Amino acid sequence: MLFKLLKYDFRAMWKQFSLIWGAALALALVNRFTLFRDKDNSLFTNSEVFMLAFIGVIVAMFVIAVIFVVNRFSKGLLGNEGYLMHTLPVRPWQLVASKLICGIVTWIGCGAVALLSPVLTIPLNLADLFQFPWTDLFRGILKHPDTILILLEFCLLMASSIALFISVMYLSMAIGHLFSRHRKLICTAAFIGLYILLVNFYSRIASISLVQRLMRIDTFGAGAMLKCSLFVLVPALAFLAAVCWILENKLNLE
Amino acid sequence: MRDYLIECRELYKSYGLRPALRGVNLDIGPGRIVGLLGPNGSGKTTLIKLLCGLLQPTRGTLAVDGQAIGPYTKSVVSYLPDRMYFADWMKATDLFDLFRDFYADFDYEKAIAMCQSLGVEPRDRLKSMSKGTKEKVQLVLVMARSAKLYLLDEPIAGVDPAARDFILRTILTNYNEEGTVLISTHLISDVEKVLDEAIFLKEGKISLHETVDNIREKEGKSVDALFREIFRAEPMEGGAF
Repeated sequence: MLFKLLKYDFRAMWKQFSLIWGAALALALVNRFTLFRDKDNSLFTNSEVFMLAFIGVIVAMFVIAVIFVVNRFSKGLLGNEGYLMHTLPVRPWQLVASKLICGIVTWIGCGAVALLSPVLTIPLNLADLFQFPWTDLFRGILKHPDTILILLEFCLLMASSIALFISVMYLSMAIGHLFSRHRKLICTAAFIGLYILLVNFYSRIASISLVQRLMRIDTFGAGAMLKCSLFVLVPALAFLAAVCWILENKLNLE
Repeated sequence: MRDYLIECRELYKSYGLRPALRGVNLDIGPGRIVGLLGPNGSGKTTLIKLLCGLLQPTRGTLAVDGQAIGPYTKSVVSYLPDRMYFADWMKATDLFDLFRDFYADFDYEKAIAMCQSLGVEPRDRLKSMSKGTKEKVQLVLVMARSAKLYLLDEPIAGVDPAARDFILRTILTNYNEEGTVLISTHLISDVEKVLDEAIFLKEGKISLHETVDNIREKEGKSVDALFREIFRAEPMEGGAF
């Protein structure tokens, strides 16, 4: 059932973001033809309008991504669309998991577009690309396979951090939903409260010597960031469990 | 087959300090068309939402087909809410796909045929449809299922008398006859002719649960006339109508 839910959540996401991602990449390509290099090999643009439009689209993309995650949960589960979603023969955790996975993928997608678009924008010389020591790079990676592992761990840490941020938003909205009046105000207060709670939690955790050692960049090896991801995921899972409990036992679509 | 499809015991629901249902005890068997009748604010929608799992009872128990409310009961209940519940970016066919994925009893071909008979183009975006057409799509979604229990919350409220007949005819010609239809309304005269049983809900309590034939026989009047008698409100100045 989770896969079926994901199918519809991803379809909703694609409807909204295919246009934005397409626009960002298209503008990045357009800007490629407005950039030129001077004698010192510095980059200049001869069309500030396109560059501003490109930056605007990138900023808008992240703002829309936040709004999308909020709306998919507040309207999709706690608003009118909840009348459909909560009458489907699924458990609340499946509804939450589907929204969460879709939210994480959306933000990762936005990040990927934001990283890819400068590559499309900067006029790279094909000859420079061929001259790049790719073989040395691959040889280096093969010599130190930990690099790939660390990169994967870094990606996991990023995904865990996004999951934590989204779970804080979900729990804030679910807490707001428990009240019949001033829901938005209570939701905002809950978000600030949870944020303070998290900051305190991590500042106390970080003061423990074991964690300090773990967090020090020079001790980073295979598995270090994996443990960091766990530290991030534990509160995220606790918050998501609270969200599921509220949806299972206190759902109140008045 | 079970004797009762719906079983409620000492069911209470309150919104804050305001009680909506106060100790409802109710048994409804399969294969019945039941009217859940009462004035606005009597608790009809609350009872239906509890049966769907959209609300949680403050206390008491309720079961559908012998099971507590959960994924199983949701798989056998077909619910028509009193509002639009779909996202505007969808087409009717997207919703039919969704229902086919989640409900084993959803008949896709029947849904398309119903759309044609109701004059709805299922490939149009919901955003471009009128309110009335969207309501038809919602009705199609509910009636294209062969459910054990149909929960219809005010299906004829806010539409003209001709449309009411049309909606009722659509319901009667498409529901699973082994299932039960629970229709909440305060427009008694329009639904009375199709009902097997009537439940009068007054201030969160069941004041009457009887078959329509018994009401006519015992009271010597129609359900509508009895409803007006029970729920008659005295005008402020005490004058007679």
